[in-house]
Amino acid sequence: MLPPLLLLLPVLVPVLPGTVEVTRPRGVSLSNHHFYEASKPFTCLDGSATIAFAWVNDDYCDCRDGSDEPGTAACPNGRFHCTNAGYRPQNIPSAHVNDGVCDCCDATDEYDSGATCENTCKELGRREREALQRRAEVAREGFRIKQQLVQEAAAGRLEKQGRLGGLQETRRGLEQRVGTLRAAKEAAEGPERAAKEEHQRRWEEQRAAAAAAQEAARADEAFAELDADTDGWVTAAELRARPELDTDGDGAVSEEEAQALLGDPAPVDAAAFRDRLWATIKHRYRPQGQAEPPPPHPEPPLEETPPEEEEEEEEEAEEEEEEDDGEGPEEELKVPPPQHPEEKGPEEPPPAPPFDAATQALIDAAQQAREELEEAERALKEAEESIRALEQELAFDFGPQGEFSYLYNQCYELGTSTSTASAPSNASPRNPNTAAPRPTWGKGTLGDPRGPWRWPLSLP
Amino acid sequence: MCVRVCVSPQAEAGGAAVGGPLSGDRPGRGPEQLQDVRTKRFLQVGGVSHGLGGAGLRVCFVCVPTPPPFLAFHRRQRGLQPGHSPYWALLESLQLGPDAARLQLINEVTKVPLLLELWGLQGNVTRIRIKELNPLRPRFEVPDVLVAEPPVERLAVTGRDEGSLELSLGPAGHRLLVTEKPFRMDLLQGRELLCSVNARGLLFFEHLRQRRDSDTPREPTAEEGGAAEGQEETTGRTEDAGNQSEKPTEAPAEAVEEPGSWEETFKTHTDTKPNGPTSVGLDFSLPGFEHVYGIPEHADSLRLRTTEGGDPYRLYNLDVFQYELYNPMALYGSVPLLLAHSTRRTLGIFWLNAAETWVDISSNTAGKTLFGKLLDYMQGGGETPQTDVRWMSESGIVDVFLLLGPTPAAVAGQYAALTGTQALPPLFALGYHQSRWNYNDEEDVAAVERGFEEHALPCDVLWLDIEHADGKRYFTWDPSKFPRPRDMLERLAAKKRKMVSIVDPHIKVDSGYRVHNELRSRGFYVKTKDGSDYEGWCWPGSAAYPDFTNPEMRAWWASMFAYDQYEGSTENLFTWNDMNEPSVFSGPEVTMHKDAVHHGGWEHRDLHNLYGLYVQMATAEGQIQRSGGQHRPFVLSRAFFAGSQRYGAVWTGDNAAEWEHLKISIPMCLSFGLAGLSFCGSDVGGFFKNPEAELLVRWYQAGAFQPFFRAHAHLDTARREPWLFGDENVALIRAAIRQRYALLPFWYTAFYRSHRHGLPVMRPLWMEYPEDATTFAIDDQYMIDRALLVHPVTEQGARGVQVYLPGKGEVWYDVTSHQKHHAPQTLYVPVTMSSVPVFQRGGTVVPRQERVRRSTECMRGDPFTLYVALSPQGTAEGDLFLDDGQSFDYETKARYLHRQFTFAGNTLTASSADPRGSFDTPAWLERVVILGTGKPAAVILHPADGSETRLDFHHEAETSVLTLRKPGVRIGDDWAIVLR
Repeated sequence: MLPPLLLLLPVLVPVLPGTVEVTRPRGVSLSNHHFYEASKPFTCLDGSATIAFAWVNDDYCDCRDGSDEPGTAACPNGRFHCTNAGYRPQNIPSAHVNDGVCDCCDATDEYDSGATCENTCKELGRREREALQRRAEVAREGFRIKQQLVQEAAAGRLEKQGRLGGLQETRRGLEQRVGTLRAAKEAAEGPERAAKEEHQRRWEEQRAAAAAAQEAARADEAFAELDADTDGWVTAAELRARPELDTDGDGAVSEEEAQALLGDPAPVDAAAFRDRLWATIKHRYRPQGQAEPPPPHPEPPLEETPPEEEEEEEEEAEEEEEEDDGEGPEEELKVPPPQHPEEKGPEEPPPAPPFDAATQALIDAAQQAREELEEAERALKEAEESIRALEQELAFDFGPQGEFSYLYNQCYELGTSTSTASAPSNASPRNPNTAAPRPTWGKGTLGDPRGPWRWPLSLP
Repeated sequence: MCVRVCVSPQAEAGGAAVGGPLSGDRPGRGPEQLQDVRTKRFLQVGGVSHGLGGAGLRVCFVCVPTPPPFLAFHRRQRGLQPGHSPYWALLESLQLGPDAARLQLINEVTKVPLLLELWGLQGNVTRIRIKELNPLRPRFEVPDVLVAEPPVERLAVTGRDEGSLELSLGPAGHRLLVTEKPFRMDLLQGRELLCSVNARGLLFFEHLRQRRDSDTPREPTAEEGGAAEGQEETTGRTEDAGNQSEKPTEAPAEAVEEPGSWEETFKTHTDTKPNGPTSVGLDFSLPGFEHVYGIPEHADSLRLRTTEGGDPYRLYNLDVFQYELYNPMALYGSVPLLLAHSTRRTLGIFWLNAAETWVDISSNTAGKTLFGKLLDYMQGGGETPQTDVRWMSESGIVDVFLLLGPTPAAVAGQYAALTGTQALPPLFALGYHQSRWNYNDEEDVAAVERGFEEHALPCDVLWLDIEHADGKRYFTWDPSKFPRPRDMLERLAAKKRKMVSIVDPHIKVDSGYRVHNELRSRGFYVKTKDGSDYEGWCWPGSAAYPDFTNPEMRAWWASMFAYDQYEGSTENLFTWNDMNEPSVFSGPEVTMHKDAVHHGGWEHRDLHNLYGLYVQMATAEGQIQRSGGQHRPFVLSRAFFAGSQRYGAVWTGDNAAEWEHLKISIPMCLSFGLAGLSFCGSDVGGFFKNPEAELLVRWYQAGAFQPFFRAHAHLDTARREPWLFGDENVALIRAAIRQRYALLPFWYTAFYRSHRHGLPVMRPLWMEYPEDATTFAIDDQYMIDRALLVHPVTEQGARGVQVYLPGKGEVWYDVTSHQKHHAPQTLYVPVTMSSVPVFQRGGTVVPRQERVRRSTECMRGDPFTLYVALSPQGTAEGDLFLDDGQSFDYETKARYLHRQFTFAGNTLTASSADPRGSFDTPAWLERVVILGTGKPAAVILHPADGSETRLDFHHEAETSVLTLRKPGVRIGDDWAIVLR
């Protein structure tokens, strides 16, 4: 498929010697020459008048359409035809005939103006032919490239369709695999859950037992202390010696109170104390020598806030960044500092013991099942995305023969600015307008106008 | 173009600059409000400038605070009421020299003597000059405006009696009656009183005086500490000078000195007045005159209005932003010439003073004075209408020329004899000019030029505004936009087109700019009162102003137009001087401080209105010099003064795309013409704003019939080259431009006549019909030369116009339809978009070149068509001037043709109107169109060789138009064509 322009070339070949020169009035084209017959009166081409042929090109306008003066400037609306042998013919306005400006390359329009015009048609024709040849070559090359692209596009399409089929196959497999693995995961998770619960239960029992034993030991310790006379009994008198056990709030334990505490039978021995009385008094009881109760939750001393400095520094940094932010964040930052680690509640539960081997084995098995499922799901998702992308690309219109498919996913920059050349190309190629700096007016800047503006006016 | 910049941080631009004038520091109705009420002062200008130095501010907000003018002098003068003049003429002091009569005037209050000089000049002109007899310092007398010392007539004392003196003033029978007490003068011809001087006692002459201590406390507010120093100095000097015989200082009348006499402050601007009060003023009474004209430039009707109860007409060249219409405010140029016209005669008053000037006009009836009553009695009339004119100038002397006519043409000739005639423009300058602020670069220029080619629109000149220069450094080219100006100019020259580049008189202060460095090192800049170079803010930022009043500076400036000095220029490049009021964005009223100092120590105050004339003068001289004196210059100027007509073209400045602005362009250019400035035009399309297609088309149609035909537009407007308005409109515009080109031989001949005789090319009807009072106030139609009457359509959506066709017993021919109309009548002419009502006067011959081409140069040598419009008597006459269209050869070598065409007795005869000239041209006679004639049996051509040729012809019975086909004779030959 050759570009049609090539076909024009023979027309532009210079008129060869030996060509018959048709005689016709100046400024008449070959196609019109039969209207101008020297033997007959001339009728204006618009039919408006008929004149003697001697009046054709006599430098006076007789026809309204200007057709009697094809070779002079006499008519305001005439056209002058230049053959421009060697180049392309031209119809110029009559007003350009003999106006001192060379309009026709064959110089025929300036036959009586004194202007020296050279015949440049051959040169122009040569340049035109060269240009046309260059264009033809470009067209040929372009056509070749296009064919290549079409082929590439077709091959690419086949390849993509093949890849799509494969991917769809893979997807089916993956879907199955996901199903299988999900079932396996669920199967493995049942025993794992049971074993973990059992482990937890056992651990809690163990902790409860330990706590009871500890409480009993504390009761025995208290008993030993309350039993001032170490007779194996705690009596009302002994209780009355301990004012912290006061129940009515008067600061002393009365006989009645002591009796009430002891209950019946009183006094109590170590076992009864442990079982009965301890539970009643343990919250008020203080071991000897600790009469004053320590503050239950001591306020952390304000001075001790070592992290504050750091924070202030940060604040300053932030302030530098955002000066306008005002006071808000500063105050927010004055949160209570964290408590000291020592003061944490002493009764943190001890860590649970490791799972036993059997439980651990069950957990491991379930974890493996989960991981396998996730992996399969990921693979499936990837396959689906690839399929979607391929389907989208295949559905795209890349021209009748797919010749533009090579453009897919290619990004080009559109350079629009001429004067402010070399705009930084950090602009997003997809959207060159957003980031490209716009040409700026008067990019120079002005000094403070009150300076130069005023100083010539100021009075010394 | 022209807007002013105040470059400021955007936030403050508005408030600070605009707030001031509106805050009304000067309340009350007065002339100060003239400029100041229009404070709609924002205009965004992209790319105002670059490289102004400094950092961090965005340029673009432009605001124009126009502060009220300084006007203490005006206030002082207007405070003087008509009545008894304090001046006496000392008749016994009369000295009658061979040329002049001199006598003293004395102020009976201050006893300050003045010297009155009287001349009778040849050609019916009386000159009256009043200056101080013993001035403390010289007072400014305007140089370089008069073309020569005018030749004088012999004066004689023809009568003398108690209290009066009669002088005869030359052969026309004019007599001047000088009355002693109070001083007044009456100019008579026979028994007719033409003009009275100081009849209302408004002679005002502030003699130069020393500053006294008593002046100091009156200084208004004086924010400047510097003022006090100055006062001490002055006081010191006063004591030193105390010995001199200074009677003025003792005069009681001076005990009260007006505020503002020695210094005036307005806002940031202070006008120090080291010479104190110096103003002058005088009144003229014109009995029998009701119509006065002239004193351009004002955006007002042709006929001047009375200023009673309002502001006087102000003459003070100013760069006015978006001027208002029908307003006496000052504009870009000034010509202090006022014409008075009645059915009986025409009279002119030329007040030769270049300082700020105000003109009060009032109408009156003569007879209020005893003398007037006597006159009425003598003339046998009842109440005679009278116009009183009062001139007031801030400094200088009284130097008045009374142009006594008696016809309009005679007054024009008298004024031309004093100040020169319109320079004969190069032919191309009469073609069409395409301008815009701005054509951006060489490619843009090429594209616009291509547009004219492709749309077959004739165009002679493309224009480049300020953006073409490198950072507004005139005489340079922007290296990126116009890297090869010579090539560009040559490309234009190949199409026979020209270019104009702008060269403004503000010079960028930049040590890297050769022009600035030379001006500075040669000391050619205008100085501040302290002797440093005066600098102000203008387009390039900080700018200094060459002192064009210095002849050495002008010579240097002229040398800058040499091809090797103005790099990139060629003989194809011409010049536009804009901003030459001068415009100083940072100055008071956007112009130069009045206390700036010029060559010879004169204050800017003395010569302000003259600055623009000098700029154009020096530029035109440069263009002449660059061609070795061969070629005629073309320079367009915005500012002007009396005499500017000798240097080129002027235009009406920064108008707007509004119908009213189109309309006002006619009276404005008519006023220009009356003041000698024939080469006038207005920006076609309007400078500011965007014209709709209809307005643009109408403007092209009107502009094609105004002397200077240029389209121009502001930077912020949309592009408006004619082809951007659709096929229909471009066809209408093409028709308008082609009509212009076809009539160029007529225009050129009219300009030649103007150049020779001083008659305006575009003239009011009354100049041609001085006795037809109907014409006196008409300013929506006008004459071109004596043959064409034009009434452009200036109404939106017009369906028709009322055209007044003057001339009792005359006929007019519609140039389009050739239909004949009898005069006088008011004719309703229906119009369409293609109509431009133009009428050829019966009895005239208009030459045309109907082969319209790319440009005027392309039409050189083309044949001519004569349009012979017969009078009812079957006669007609006209002429044709022809030369090479560009050189001074017509003048220096008599290379021209001036042909006369006369139709009488059915014979059209061509003869030489001026046998001194000869010019060889191939041009021939293509066609003769005779309007208003019957069909002849035969038409015979008799060439000079005695042979006889029958001519083909065509007769249109319906319109009585006879077209003779191709006589073919050379246009320079004598011949006759006989209709049988």
